Amino acid sequence: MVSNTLQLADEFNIIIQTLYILLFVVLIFFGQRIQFHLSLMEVGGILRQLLHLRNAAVKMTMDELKKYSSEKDINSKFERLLNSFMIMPEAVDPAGIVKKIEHIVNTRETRFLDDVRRLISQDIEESKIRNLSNMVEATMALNIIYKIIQHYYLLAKKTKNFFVMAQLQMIAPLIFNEAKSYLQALNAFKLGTPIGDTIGPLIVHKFMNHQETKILEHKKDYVKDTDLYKVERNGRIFYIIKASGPGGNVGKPGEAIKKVINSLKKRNEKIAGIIMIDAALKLEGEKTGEVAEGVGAAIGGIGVEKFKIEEIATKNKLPLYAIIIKQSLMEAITTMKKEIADSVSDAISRIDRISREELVDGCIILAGIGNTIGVP
Amino acid sequence: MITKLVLQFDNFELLILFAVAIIFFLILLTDIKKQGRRMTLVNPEIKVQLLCEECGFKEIRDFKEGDYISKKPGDKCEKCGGDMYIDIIYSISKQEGARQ
Repeated sequence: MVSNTLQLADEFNIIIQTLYILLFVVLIFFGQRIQFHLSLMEVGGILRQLLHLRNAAVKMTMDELKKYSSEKDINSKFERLLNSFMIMPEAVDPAGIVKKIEHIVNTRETRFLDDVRRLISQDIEESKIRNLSNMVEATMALNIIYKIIQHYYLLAKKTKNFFVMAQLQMIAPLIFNEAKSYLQALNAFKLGTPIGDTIGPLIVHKFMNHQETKILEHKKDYVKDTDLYKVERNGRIFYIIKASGPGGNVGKPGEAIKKVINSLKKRNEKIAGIIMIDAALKLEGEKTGEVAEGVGAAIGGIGVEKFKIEEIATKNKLPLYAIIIKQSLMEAITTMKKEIADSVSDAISRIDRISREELVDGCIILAGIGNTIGVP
Repeated sequence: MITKLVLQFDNFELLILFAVAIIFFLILLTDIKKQGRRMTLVNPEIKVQLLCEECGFKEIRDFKEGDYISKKPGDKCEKCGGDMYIDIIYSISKQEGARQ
């Protein structure tokens, strides 16, 4: 009986040892392939989620467009808009490239807005058209994210390239979070609520409607989609620049700053400096709605407006101050959180301090940068 | 018989290692499968803070489509009957809303 048990144990030991060696052999020769298939499954899952987000965005935008449209082939027209693109100018000879980029961007913006207008048959407010175009843009962003991830997924699958798949696996969860933000942004654009990025225009709006401020002049559409206000506060003159609201719009703050500086120079008015207020992406661990000060042109986007502001400020030796309100990408494109809205008074007190202590001689140009959705 | 077999078995640690590896592999597979499931996004609650032009009385209500900052939606102040205007529009997560 005992010898039988020992024999059985010996046989069992041999089996386990053989399995152990086999496992090593399998892992040595097929380890990367197993890892590849696991990555494929994981990225495939994320891709299915991205498709779900993309389809949800298309449905939401189409439903909203159909409310104001009697077009029969709206689906095909919308699909055409969704797949439209912009080709950046050639950068082999970079001299004068900003002008070329500006021209391409302006053409794209005008054409895009006109295309959205053509989809709508009813006579609706301009702000609603702007919000609808913002919805289409967010849907386009989701569509392109899905297409790019799908492209690399299929490419890696076709070529069985583990390293392409590994990179995709690393980056896909981050991109997925970005895609979720875009879908939530659609809701904000649909309702027309201020988003996190609206904090710049909101601060300057609150600044000029403050009880201590007196609005002296308002020039609507001073430059395309951008308003100019001349206000007086604590005995100082401020020229306030913000995009025209309350529809979703970022305006042309660079062009407006350039125009106002040139016009003030012609009138020999002394300019103390420029203060720019914008939302900025926070680092993980930083507090949402935290206000920080610095120097430089606080403005994002493709770079045309930033270039213009830096150029005119350098040419005229004007100090360029920046106030930023920190937030994540998700917070920047979704309905404004309470913590961000609460930063308004802190930012206004900082503008007052700068105007009192640093920019003491001459008028101040104050620019609220960002999408002005929900703020007139 | 089984106790004796286990006591006699030299590679008992290997067996445990095997079992643990299989458990980890199953957990990994379940985790990957979860990624493919459809998720639902919860839209946050959107609130509007109204201020009275006359006395500065503050009131908070739900957002209505068409609301924007500085708009006078026609609401009257509970305290003095003055006109209210929209001071801020902000979102709170559903949990925060429930706590409030």
